[in-house]
Amino acid sequence: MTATPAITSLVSALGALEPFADPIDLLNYRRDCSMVAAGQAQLAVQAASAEDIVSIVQAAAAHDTPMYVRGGGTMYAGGANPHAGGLVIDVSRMTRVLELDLARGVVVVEPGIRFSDLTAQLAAHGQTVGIVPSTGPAATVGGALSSHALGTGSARHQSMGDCVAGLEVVLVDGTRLRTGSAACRDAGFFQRYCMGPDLTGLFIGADATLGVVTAVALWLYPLPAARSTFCLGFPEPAAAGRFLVDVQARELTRQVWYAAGYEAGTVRARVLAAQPEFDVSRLPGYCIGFDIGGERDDIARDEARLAALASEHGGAAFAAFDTAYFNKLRLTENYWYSFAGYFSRSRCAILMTSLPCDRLADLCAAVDALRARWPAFVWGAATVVCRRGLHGGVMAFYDERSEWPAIEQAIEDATQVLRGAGCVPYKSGKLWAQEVKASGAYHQVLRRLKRELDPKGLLSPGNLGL
Amino acid sequence: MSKTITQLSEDFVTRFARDLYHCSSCNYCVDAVWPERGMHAVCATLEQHSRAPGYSGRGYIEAARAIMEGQALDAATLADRVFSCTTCGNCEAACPLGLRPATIGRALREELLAVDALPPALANARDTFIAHGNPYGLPRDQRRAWLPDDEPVAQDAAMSLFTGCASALPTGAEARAGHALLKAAGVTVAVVSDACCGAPLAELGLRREGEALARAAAARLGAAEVLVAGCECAAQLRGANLKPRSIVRWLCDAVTAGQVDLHWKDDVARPSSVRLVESCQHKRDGRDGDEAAVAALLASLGCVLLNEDFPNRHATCCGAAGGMPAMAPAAAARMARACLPPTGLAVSLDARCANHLQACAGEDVEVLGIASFIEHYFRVAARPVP
Repeated sequence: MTATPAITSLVSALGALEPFADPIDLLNYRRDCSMVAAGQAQLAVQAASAEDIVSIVQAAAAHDTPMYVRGGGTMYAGGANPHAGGLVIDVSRMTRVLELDLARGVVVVEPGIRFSDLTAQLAAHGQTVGIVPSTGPAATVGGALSSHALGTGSARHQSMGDCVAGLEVVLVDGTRLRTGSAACRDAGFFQRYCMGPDLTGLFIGADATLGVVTAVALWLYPLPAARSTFCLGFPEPAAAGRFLVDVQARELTRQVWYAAGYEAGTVRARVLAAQPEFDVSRLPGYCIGFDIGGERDDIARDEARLAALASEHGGAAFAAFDTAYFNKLRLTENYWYSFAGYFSRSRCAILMTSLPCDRLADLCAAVDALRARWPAFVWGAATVVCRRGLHGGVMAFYDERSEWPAIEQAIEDATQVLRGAGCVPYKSGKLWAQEVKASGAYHQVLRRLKRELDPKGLLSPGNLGL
Repeated sequence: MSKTITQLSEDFVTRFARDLYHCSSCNYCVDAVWPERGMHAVCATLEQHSRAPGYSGRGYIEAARAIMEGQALDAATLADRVFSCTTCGNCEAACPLGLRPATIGRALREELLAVDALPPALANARDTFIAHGNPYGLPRDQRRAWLPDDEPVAQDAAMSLFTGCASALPTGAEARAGHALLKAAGVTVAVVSDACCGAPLAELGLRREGEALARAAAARLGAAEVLVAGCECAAQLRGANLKPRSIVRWLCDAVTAGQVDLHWKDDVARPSSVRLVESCQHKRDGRDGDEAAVAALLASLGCVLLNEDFPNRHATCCGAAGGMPAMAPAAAARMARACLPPTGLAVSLDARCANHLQACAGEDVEVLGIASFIEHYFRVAARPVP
């Protein structure tokens, strides 16, 4: 590919930052973990500081060059895929902890810090952050909040955005903006909602379409004294959904750092893999795993209350799934490793979504429908319990070499099936862009904001349908 | 016009298509950080040589896939990326799916040789090896220079000692010390010091030529148990159907079995502490057990080890391996210094790593190979049979 005059000039302007222009080095920037088609950047640059970001954004804007921002590249919605070409701003070298304020209960970090690095540093102070990620060794804090990532969510902390106390963002004109209490000169980050509207929220889940995040303030929480996992089995998803409605209404989620629901097929596969002799007639139709943190007595009390509530909905403790899978997933493994068996057979397309608890059975029915319509793929669904509602992921495992066109059609179909089941887009990126565009007034306002903040449409074109 | 690489051999596609198309682009092989598992960085090349992603494990996967899908890539640039790799295998240790980015990088070297794209610095290394039979450019007969002139030729010895070029050259210190340890332990070995395992050729992408040398060496070693001083020799000879053991592993096993005693020498001041340096070759060869055995032995003798966790399967490479020392010696030196303590004594379990670390260490750090360390500080004696 021959560089355009604008790119050649931009390379010169960014010279001190040693941008990558060789096609071989740009191959890694083509895509994220999603099944969204790859893009092709003409240039990439690794920023080391917020000052670098200001310089880069101003230079790229002066050359009318599209910009995409990339953290760990572990997202499942194609937000970092440079479909319009141009420049990729790689923030993976911005890994510093800028402030650790135990009195205010806030840690301020650069966007490229990996969650596993951050949690290890915080553990030395007996602290952690609200949502513990499942791809922590590679996922970055900045990427996670920009893309509504960590669809894992948290029963205790809700969603990634709810863990953010404030942001520093660089706008396309080079303006450095601090949000929340830090918007006031010298006040620092300690309160998200103050002074006026919540500008922090404007950039969370915005997929870098409105600005480039250069610092993130996260709320701190003391590491729980103890942690325990346990699992409940239900005869079918509808019962599990009713149980979750009750759990959330009674606020039994306060010590649940993570909870996730699993379909019968997943439960069966995991349990039988660990215990081939297991009596299949004892397998539940749906299973929910809980990761509870707190004082030991409180954990025991909450486990008993959850089990008692489950029994009202036909559920009961199901230790076999905890032993076979859930305990390892939460305490010794992480997402990628736990799913390695599936990934090593093929790649995975994931469509992230949000839904109310009372539609859990509809989600499972939707996945059954996709299984019937697209039998070539292995389909699965997982849901994560939030303080209110659920985040879910519908996934299809496919052979990328031979099934690429078919999986694109299947995922397109899945978006419609999920909408019919009452699900809404989560982690939109490019994957759900058409649905976001079709949202009416919401998207119209987004477009007006976009025109105001990024009049030439240079930031992450294509994301969110912008 | 610069040369391009436009296709991969059928052999390459057969061996690696699964890896290329199952890679999920998760970037664990590039720059994952997972302190709980001892993973503070993944790729020494990215850390110390260049941050350009083309140098990473995922970069090799992406490049191979791009070629497979019809993209023409500049051969010299790709050669610079893949021949710089130290092939330490950290990217493979980090991959959640068990894919083989470093192995793909090594295989890409063969593909690049097919289009005559060996980087100039390595072309010199290849020519040196072909001329002298070792990568140091030293005379062939110097490989035996460490061996005492009056050393008798062991007939029908139960074990052979294969020194390899890294312990026999350039000073021969590790070969001499390893041999002395075995003698002190009452073991008679047949020394094979003038044969090559072919590892240096294999690293240059000349896999088949390297394998041929390994087979020839294996034929000379015969049926006796083989002890080696160099990790890369062990891996190469294993490919020729031998089951070599490192000298120090033999020693650990012998001490554990009560056949050999090891005591601090009374007339040598003990080191206050020791930093053991991991060898990526041990990890790649699946022989972490050697490192754990040595650490346990030294700890049992009261040696103060500075390592917080050893062996750490995610420790980054010292830069001795691959094309880095020839292509980017300054980066290779930075890699070495990153593995060493600021002061004191560091001990490497691999002869080639020890040579490289010694050459790159600052004045305040002493580096010894493991055999030299034990031979210097400990008395070794065969325990009398009751």
